[in-house]
Amino acid sequence: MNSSSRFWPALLLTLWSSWAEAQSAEDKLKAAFIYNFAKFITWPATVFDSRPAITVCVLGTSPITQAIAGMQGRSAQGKPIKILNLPQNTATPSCDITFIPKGERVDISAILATSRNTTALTISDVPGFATSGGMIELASEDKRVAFDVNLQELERGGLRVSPQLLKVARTVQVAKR
Amino acid sequence: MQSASLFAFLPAALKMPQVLARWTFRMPVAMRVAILLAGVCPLGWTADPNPDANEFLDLSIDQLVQVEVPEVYGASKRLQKATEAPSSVTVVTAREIKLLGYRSLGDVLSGVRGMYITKNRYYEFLGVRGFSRPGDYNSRVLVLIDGARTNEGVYGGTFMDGAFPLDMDLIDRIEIIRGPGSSLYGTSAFFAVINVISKKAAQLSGVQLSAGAGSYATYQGRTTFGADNDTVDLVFSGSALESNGPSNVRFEEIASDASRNGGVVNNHFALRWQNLFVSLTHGDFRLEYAGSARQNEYGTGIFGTVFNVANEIYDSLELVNLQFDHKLDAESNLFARLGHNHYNYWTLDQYDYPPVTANQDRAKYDAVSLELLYSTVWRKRHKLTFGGEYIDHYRANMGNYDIEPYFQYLDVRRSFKTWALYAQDEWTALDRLTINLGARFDDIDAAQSALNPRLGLIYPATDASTFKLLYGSAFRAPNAWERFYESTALHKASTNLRSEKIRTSELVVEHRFMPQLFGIASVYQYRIKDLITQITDPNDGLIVFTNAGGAKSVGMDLELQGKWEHLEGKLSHSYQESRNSTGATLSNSPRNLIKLSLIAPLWTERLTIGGDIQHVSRRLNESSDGSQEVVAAYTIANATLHYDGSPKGLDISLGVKNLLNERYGDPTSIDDMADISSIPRDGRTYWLNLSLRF
Repeated sequence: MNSSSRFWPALLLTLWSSWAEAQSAEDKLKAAFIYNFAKFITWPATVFDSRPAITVCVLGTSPITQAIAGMQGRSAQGKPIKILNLPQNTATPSCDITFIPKGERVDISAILATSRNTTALTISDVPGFATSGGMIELASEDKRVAFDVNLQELERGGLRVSPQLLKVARTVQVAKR
Repeated sequence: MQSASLFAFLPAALKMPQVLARWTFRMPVAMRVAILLAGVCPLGWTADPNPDANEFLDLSIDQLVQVEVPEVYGASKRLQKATEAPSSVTVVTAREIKLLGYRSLGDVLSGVRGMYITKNRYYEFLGVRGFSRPGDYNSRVLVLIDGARTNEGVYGGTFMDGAFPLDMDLIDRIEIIRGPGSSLYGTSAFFAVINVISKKAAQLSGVQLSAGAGSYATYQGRTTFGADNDTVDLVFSGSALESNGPSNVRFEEIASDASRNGGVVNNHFALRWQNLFVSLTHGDFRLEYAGSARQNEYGTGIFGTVFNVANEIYDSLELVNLQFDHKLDAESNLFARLGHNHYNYWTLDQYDYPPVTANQDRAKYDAVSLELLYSTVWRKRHKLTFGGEYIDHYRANMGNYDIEPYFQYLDVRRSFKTWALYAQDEWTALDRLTINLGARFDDIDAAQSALNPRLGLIYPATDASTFKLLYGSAFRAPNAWERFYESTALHKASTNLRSEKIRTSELVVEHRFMPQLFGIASVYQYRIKDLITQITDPNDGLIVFTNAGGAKSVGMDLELQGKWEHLEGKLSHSYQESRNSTGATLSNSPRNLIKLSLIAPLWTERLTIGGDIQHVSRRLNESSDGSQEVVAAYTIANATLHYDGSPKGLDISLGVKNLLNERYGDPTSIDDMADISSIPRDGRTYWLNLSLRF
């Protein structure tokens, strides 16, 4: 046996002794965007009065769920953030933010239809999300992550976007009067 | 192959304690460091239970939109995710360079899967896929800075040491794109393309002062200024290093030779280099200057020079590039680059004819280049790229003369021109299958031409796995040295010299086992023909270059990349067998390369330990008398402690290279003294660096 083959056992040893959680940079970055939306979007005045937490729902099992889970323990809107991991095609009325990760085989229009009767903020990184009835789309632009805001949909949900966010939003669709 | 041992290990794992105890005795010393590192990491976790390591969560939305996600440019001359590139790609980031304590391009590449560096204390040579030929001045690897060629036109070479024009602290990332790249880049992109990308002003804003000191009385300093506002981005940076070098380098094989100081070179490895980098970006325009000069002493008796004296060598590279990068619409882009490359080289050598006489060898190279590139999307499914390049290598001079008494052996003043056209189509043929088709036509002096195609099938079979089937060819055109070197009564110019050619087929599988763990497996084979080789013409006794011989290689790479919250690392094993056309194993061609690198925070996110282990299996040397000897395998470990004072403040870094003081050396080539088989590498060295930002 070649001396070099002794390295493989060392690898496994190292990996096994170090099982912990971590995420890709892109996922962490997107999670940070969602956290900022949670902080700088204003929900209708009474929404959080009766709720102990602000609930972020993530659909499916894509790797980004781990990055989003990192928000747990922080707070927004004066409430602690609670992360709820839901099966692919469900979105419940208790979601304040619903995130639909790309790569999940979900029926976006069905989820949006469910959310439309609630005050949930819908976010996704599926291309074309903002133009097909979603509120905020996270998009990869060159090496960066940018976001599109669909003001018409936000307004329908009674949500207001802070000028800070609007300033850096990539394209803003003007709400029709 | 070696991967079998991975499975063989599984049952053994059940008996972990005994196995562990046995290894600690049996394994090479460097291995114990891996275990040590693995032991240190859990310690870090218990001390730092903070589960929130998402550094982006505390950024404002304005900052978030500025953060960049790693991607690759060089594989297709457009930005794409590494998994979508038609190559097996490694990206080394600024963070890894810093936390693993890499201080030169050679350091970085020594840690990369399937690559190894050979140092003869004169130059550093990069070996890729088992190929590192003596006298190859890195001419079969194309190295770019921000997309612009650094390889000069006299020897076709580039630098892995202090003569590389970009300071390590100014590098944003290094893209290592394996396999033939001539279908986009032309000559030199034979085994790999290495694209080094500089940091932008936003990453360097403010003033940075850096000072370091280390073994062999080595001192290094850097001053960097970066400013960015709405209209102009500016980076200005200068660095310098001075070192006495090791004082006693021992060649054990000639220890009994009193005429060569008992095989000891006393104090003749002094080194100094400087470099300067300036970039100015305004709208679509970018002006960039990168320049370096390195001077070092060597007393190793290479090229028949006197042993144990301070022979000197100087190399300088200067690149100036003006780029115009304009988005025509959402899908189309126009890129233009006007560049100037300057290379200057000289030596000051002592030869014992007798009497001992000072001799100077020189080369000077200048070129102007223009590149145009248009990319667009056609019918939604085709990402098309069309490009053209014209280079006027208007000065390719070589000279050699004795200083006192003056005698000129060689005074060659030549120039040559190259032009090329290329096209590439990334065709999304089916929902998931992407076909990457490209070709480039190169013409040299209207006499030689080369057509190099590339075909890549990229198939993400599932969300987690991508298969890449790649075929390509590349060439290395004979350089000015090989074509024009002509001296009084010794060398003659080589007519009818053809380009070296390589054809490579490769299968790459990339799989994400879990969010934290990514694996790459690659199997490749290549065939080289028409290698350019120096021979003596039997008709006239003159030394001349000719196309003779080839090589064949089969190899396999395996790599695991893990990124957990408190540990990140890469582990790779490369196995290859390369033979020349007579079936003999190539010289300086290690069968096995094993690399392990780990980075882990200690107690706080600001304090990290980074370390790597590199194993290079045994290699053959190549002596001028035709004999070959085995140079022993080696395993070295390096470690770096880093304290991060960002965003403003003091960064402190303490690094140890060759932690366990392994005694090892690199194989000699036909240029070295015939009775030595290896050139010793450095023992344990230390480095302390302070960097202040304000």
